[in-house]
Amino acid sequence: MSDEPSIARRDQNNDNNGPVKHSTGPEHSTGPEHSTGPEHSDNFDDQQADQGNSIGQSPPVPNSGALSSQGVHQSPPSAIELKRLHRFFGDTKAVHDVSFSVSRGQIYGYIGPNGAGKTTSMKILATLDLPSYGDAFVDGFSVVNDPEFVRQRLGYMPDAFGTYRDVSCIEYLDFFARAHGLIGRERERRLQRVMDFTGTQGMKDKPIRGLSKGMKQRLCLGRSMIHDPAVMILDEPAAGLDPRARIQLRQMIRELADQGKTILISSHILTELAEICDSVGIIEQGKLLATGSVSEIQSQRQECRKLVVRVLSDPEEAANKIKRNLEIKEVLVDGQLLKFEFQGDIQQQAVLVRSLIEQGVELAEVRSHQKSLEDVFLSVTEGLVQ
Amino acid sequence: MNNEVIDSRTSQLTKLQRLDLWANQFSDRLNPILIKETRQSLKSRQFIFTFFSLLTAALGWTIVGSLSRMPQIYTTPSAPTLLLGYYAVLAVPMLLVVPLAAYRSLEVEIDDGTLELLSISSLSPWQVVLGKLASSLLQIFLYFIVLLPCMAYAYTLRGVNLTSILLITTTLLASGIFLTIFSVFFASLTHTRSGRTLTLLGTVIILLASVAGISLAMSSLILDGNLLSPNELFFSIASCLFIGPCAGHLMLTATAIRLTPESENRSTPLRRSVLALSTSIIFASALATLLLSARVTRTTILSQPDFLYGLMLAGGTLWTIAGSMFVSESPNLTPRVKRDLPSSIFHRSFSTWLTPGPATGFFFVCINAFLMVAWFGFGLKWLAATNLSVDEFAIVSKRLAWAFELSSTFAAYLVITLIFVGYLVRLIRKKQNPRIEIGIASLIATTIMMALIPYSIGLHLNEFRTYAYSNWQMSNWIWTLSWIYQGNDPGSVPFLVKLIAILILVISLIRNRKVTRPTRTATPQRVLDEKQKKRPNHAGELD
Repeated sequence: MSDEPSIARRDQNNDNNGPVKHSTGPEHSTGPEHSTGPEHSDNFDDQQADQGNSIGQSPPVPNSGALSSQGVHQSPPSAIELKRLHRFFGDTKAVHDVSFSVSRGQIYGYIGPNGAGKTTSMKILATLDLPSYGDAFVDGFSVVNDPEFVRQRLGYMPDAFGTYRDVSCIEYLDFFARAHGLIGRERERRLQRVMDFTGTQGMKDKPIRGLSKGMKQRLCLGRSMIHDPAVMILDEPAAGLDPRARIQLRQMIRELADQGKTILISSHILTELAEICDSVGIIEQGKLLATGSVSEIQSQRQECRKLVVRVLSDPEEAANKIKRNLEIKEVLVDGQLLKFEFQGDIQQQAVLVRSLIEQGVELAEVRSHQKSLEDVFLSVTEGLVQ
Repeated sequence: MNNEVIDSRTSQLTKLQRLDLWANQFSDRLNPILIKETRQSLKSRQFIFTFFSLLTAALGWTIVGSLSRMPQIYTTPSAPTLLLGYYAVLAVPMLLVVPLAAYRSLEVEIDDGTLELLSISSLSPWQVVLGKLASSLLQIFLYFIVLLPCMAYAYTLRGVNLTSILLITTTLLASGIFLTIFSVFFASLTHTRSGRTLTLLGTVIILLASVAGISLAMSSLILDGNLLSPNELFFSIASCLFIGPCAGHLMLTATAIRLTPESENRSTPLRRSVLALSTSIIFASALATLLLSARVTRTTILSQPDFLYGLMLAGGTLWTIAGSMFVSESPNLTPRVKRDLPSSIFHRSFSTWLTPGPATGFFFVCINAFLMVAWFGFGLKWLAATNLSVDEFAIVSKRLAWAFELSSTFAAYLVITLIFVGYLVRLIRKKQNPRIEIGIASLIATTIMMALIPYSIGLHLNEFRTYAYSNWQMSNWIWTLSWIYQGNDPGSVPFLVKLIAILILVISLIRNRKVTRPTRTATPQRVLDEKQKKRPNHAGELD
């Protein structure tokens, strides 16, 4: 791996299986300066030169993940890969040096406040926009250089429905099946499969205009998977859905991942993402602040854990013992409950419990409060909006 | 075995089911947009309302028109009156409703985000545009067929010959198609709400003006008959057949380009299309010279070659607008474009000027402007000389020399202006990544300044009194060209302007010599393999 180009080496650090990586390190400040002017495409030569030089300096790379001189992976290791992605709109940096990759069959949650750059990066991945700098790959094909191959492998569900007037559900799906080049029996089979999967069979002759939001969302999910793509990009699919519809959508997404599809999903409902995502990326003001599996991010961000202890003996005395033992300044006494913040891992927590028992404190219950994805999100982001 | 099963299954189907199966298989070969739009249209209120209004109006006019001509209808020719009504009934949907519906259709796609969904499907931008056009054509033909019996009825009432009826119907159909292309092109121009208000307004105004113009010509044709000589008629039809499809193709190409991602080569198709239109103008001018130099019209028309003014103006406008956009292209080629650059010497010799980039764009315009001027200067003269006597040729030659002077000076101004436009856009590109349409804005700014600055200085020096044309007005292209147009002597200005243009051209050619040696990059093997593969979706069963 050490022979790989510098970009690839950087990405190794950002691998979603590796430790949480903040993408604001000093090495990030070198590239984008070339392209502060024009919004996009003016840096293609720079990019290519960058890639070409890197390749030129290194010996032939047998590694399957290596880049060719044209930025196409010979045999891609990841289904989705973003490499130093930048997108500027004038002075606004909508996406600023974002790099991450998603392995095949994984669900990657893309989290960030409104205006963080989620939709922009998703649109670039969907070949609807071009990066100002950097590149994105789907199944090893560049969204800049080979968008037609990316499109064959990609299903995109935008945050807007994108439906037609005076068209029934079956006509809508049929049209997109034809638009994706499906013909004859194959088209009929795909239509049937998609309608069965999304549960839209019963309303196939209904006009789209009269559908509920949940049903429209199902239909749009069906549309995005009509050509059986390997990679799916879902932008806020659960927005505005009722709890039942959200649960059903979550089940469908999980099922798609079980079928081997790679899914990039953005959502504001973090509890849902925590449940279904294999890994997540937190983005704010265009910068990827953290990426990795949910548990990794949680443990990395777990600077101290909240402990709640229920004692049967004198709570004040127990509180003093805790303060003495751990040099904790504040222990909140709430009836029989003692609440305090504990800096230490699970082993140290066991030592504390044993020590308190040995000192005669009658412990009835010990609860350790794990930080949720929401807590992590709040601690990582600052709520800044561009 | 499978075939036997299929055969036995097919043989069990009723005729209606077989027809349905055949229609389904046939639809697989049609443009999906056409199918979708047709399904939508047939259910839309707009179509139902228009269709029934057309039927009602046609029926109503047949009754009212016939009754109003009673009892003379049996003795005197009454076709013009009825045909005028039918024309009005047909013109509204064909020239107004269908083009506006096409405009609205693309606008809604942009508004609702469905165009984005289409752009990431297997459909090419050309398919999207042609699908929209095809569905509009279907409506046009439907309306036309509905009114065909009425026109046949009008013909039986005498008073209008078959040629006129054919001319009317062909003009209506061609105009309907052209205006639809125009509307779709306008709809693609902007994606912003304020911009769309402007384009809608522009479309409506141009459609109304076109309807008024066409209607005037058609009513004159219906009431007065065909006033053109056979040669003039042939020239009109032939030049429309040359120029019309090329102009339509150019607009469709421009529309498809507006829907094509930036990383693709959007310039070459546009250049080819402009070249085709330019060639069609040259063909039309050649045809006109040959036809109008026939003995019947020689003295009346050839001595005043108005057709040349029109064609020169069309050619000049085309290359000015196209040139301003070509020189505004980004100088950086995407890796995708670099893969398709010409590699062999032969390929480079002919295709370099078609590859994207401002430098190639500049030379492309210069070469074509030069060819067009040369054609107006020498080609037409040669054609005229083959058909005319010595005396007649002397008259014609004088007019053609004047046309050459005017067009060559214009071309020289174009070369100089495009250099300024190129530099202006390069400055803008340092801060922004503008669309190539910025070239038109830069062109307008440059041409206004070129004319306004010397004129204002002259006005100031002459204490704001009118003053005569002089060499100091060299950059004032409006005054210089109008001076030549009026037949006045502009002194050495045309020579100087042409000299400067040639110098600029030579310097640019030397500075941009590297452009002729573009570095083509290799296409990755995986991409080549992928291109080789047949898409499995397309290999779907048809049984």
